[in-house]
Amino acid sequence: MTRRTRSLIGNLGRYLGLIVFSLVLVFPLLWMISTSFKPGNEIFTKIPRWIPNQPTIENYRFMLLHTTYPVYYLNTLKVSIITTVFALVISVFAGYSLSRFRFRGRGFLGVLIIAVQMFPYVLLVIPMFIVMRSMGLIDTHLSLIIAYSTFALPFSTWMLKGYFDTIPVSLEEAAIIDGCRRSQILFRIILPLSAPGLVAVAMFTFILGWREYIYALAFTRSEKLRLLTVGLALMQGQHGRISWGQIMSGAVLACIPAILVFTILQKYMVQGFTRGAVKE
Amino acid sequence: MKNKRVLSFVLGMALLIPMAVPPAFSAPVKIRLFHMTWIPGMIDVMNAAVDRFMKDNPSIQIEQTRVSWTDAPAQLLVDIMGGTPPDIAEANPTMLAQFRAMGAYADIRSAIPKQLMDNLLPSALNLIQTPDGQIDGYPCDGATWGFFYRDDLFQKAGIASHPKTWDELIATAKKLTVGDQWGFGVPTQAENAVQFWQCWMWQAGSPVDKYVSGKWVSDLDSPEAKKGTQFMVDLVQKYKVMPPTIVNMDWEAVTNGFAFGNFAMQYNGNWIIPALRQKAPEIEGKWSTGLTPSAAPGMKTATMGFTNVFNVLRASRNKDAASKFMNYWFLTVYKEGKTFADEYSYVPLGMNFTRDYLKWARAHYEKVLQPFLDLVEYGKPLTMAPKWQQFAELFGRAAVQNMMQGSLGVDEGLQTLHAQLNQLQQ
Amino acid sequence: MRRERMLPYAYLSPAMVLISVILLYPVISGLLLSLFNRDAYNPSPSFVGLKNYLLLAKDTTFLLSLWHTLWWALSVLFGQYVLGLALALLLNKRIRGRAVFRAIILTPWVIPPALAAITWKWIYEEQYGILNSILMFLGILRTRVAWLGTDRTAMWALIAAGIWQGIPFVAIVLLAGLQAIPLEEYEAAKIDGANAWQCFRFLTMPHLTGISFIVIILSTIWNINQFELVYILTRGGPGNATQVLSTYTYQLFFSAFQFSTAATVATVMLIILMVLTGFYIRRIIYPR
Repeated sequence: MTRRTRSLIGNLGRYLGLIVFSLVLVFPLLWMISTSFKPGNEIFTKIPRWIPNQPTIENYRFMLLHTTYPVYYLNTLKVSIITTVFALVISVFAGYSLSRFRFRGRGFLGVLIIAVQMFPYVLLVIPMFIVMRSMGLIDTHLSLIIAYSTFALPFSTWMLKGYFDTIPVSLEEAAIIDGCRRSQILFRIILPLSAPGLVAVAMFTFILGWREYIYALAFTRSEKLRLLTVGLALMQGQHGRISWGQIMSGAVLACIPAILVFTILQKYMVQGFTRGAVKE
Repeated sequence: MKNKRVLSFVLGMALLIPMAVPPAFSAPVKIRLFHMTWIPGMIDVMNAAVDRFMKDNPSIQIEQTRVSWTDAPAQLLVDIMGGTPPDIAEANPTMLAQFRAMGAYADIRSAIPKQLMDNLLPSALNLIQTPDGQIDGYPCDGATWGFFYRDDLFQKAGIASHPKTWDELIATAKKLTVGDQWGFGVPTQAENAVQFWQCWMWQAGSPVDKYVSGKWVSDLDSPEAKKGTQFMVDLVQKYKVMPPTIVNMDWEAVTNGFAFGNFAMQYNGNWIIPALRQKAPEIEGKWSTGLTPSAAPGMKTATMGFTNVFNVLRASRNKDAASKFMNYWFLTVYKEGKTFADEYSYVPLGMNFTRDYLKWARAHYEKVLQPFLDLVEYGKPLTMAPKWQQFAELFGRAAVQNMMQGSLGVDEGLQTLHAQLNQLQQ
Repeated sequence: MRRERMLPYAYLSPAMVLISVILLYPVISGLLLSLFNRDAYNPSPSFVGLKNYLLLAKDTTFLLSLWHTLWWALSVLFGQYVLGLALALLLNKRIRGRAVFRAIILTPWVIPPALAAITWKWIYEEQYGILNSILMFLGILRTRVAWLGTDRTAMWALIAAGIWQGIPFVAIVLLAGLQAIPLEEYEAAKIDGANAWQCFRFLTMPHLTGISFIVIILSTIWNINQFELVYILTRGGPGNATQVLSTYTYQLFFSAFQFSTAATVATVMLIILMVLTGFYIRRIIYPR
């Protein structure tokens, strides 16, 4: 078997695996998309159908033109973008500190950052609400930005620390000898090499705003500040006229920004980069 | 040194004095209305009422907070415990019992208009009155739960009439259980399990939980309670007219089943009708509704039937303004001779539990809704004992579901539940 | 010099401030709550020490939830890690259309959990769910199965959905880790005559150790704290067949208004997580 053939078969296997994974992972989204194009009487049918008898874009039209959905959408976009930037900056510094410096309390603080996440977050709503209220932040987007950034910190910090750990210190030592300040080293040497880690952290934080529900519900009251998940749940109601088609159309649209962002950021997760100058 | 301290103290006090003097003019009073209205027409009514009220009362500002029913109890709790309680909050009887037990509601005995009190149906009156005479809620829109029948499936099976007693229900359901089709379905997932369980026990003649000389005492050890529980379990286990997987079906799953012919009969609330019509317009005219059956000929039937309420919170600092709005809501005519409260109930084809509205509804509601108006007479709110909800959540639900699935015996189950309920209520 | 010594703390301080105020204080107040007997009906709660914990040890629902939670956490973690690693390895090669695959596999992560849960609920539905439909079409099933309505299958249905939800996160993080492995090392290994499996075992996996631990710790924490999925799909039912600690604590707090008991369960969850992840955390702090 020639090398070429072997690699072709290998690639075929790879494609097959990826296709299987993709189908399984995207399956529920496909069902959501299918539902979003169904009129009210086709959402539940005796024999489930992928393609409705009378597909309609009425659900999308209604959501975008006749409800406050666009407001919810923009609110969520705003909160998630600001949160991403904010959390990224903080966790880059924190991750670098945990990775490079040896200082007292390093282990303890590192563990603490992860440990606080272990308490079930559903029960933290009320004390957090009180904290936010005492800072006058109830019914503002700032409360959510602060809360979400904090939620993102454990993962972001540890992810970046782990990533920085894989970058050899020798690269920095040369720069230190040359007289560079730490912050210069951080920005000029470390960050460019950490692109995949930064992308993972940015993705994680960005998506947080689109997924979170309990705190978005508790911290914002006004219709004009409401976030997407809460808005959609509100449209769900409980008795009578549930418009599942509309809700699913809202859900499908909600997935788009994250996928777009990642598609754009993807090219920064480049395959293998040289360490160049210094050999171990 | 000492003089300096005295001076700063005096200055500090002096700064406080202006705050103690009441302002020359009254700033607008702001009240927050926390409600779960979600049907668009009803939202319009609420907005209209709030706008008109604010116009007629420029010194009172109303801010609305709208949440979904699912989130309401948690959200209200967060608000109260977080220190930002609303002034008026809507509640269903379950929330009413819970928050009432917390002492969250103000006594509105003196604020509720006499007109409204005289007009209220007895079941609504019983709901808003606590055992010690306090009144803490303004009834708003309500619902009743009854039976739905697929007349086309009845016809196919050659059954001429709807069942009026438990025995007839069993016989009819058996004839209707064939192939993919079950004779009967009732929501049993989550909170539904305990809610409908109460209905069967009421029909059998048990009050489920009694208020006796200042204390709530469980009636779960009575033969009537056992009869009701056994009947419910037998529907699944003995007569097999309901699938054991019913324990995972909520109102929508059962409605879907009814729409697709998987359930020939269902026990559900009147408010599912708009959803049913949207899901299955093709069965329009082929289904009808009726009273819940009696346990035996001659016995009165019983079912869930209650109104939601608006409460003024004890922690509110503007109770007068809040009550003023509620009076406005109930007494001001909005359109076509109906008050805001009436129209609010009319939009979802629900019930405003007043005599006037009942009379009006009988004259105006379509045929399919009339039995629900009859059911108002037999409708009871869920047990209002303060610890009932806790009991239902922690013990009742799992036990009922296990009994229906056959993994827990009825005698053993009831014995344990009776002990648990009394333990909580001592 | 002093400035240089303060630098680590300075870099760490914004994170620590946020975490202390926003997370630490609420967590501590939650822990303290478990030492009282606060519920909605008690006007003057008092300190009861560890009484709640003793009562909890005899609570059958708690013990059942504990068992389910451990079962859930380990199954879901295993599935997430193995499948996530497989996916990351598949994505690690520059093949055509890679960008498309990378975007698609994000889906479970990107859908708001509550809506994903509702969709799974419909997929698993006995009568009108697409899963039964497909399985019967393929001939795998002969009669419909009520995935969520039967004790035996409900937990597995939940676990499958839980694994589905967590795969993208594991895959993306491990992929980032794979990207950090220098190509030269692979080339050097191949020159030395290593085959694919040896490359994987002795080159890839050691490089992934640090990041794997992070992923395992965080996934475990999130899986055990996972609430919406179970709550929306089964509410802990049928009976208590799928009751887990996170839904139990929610039920205690927000439905039964038993605040202190809920806090007690939550603290137990915290302790369990610290025990389960302790090993991994130590390896991260003191790696070599």
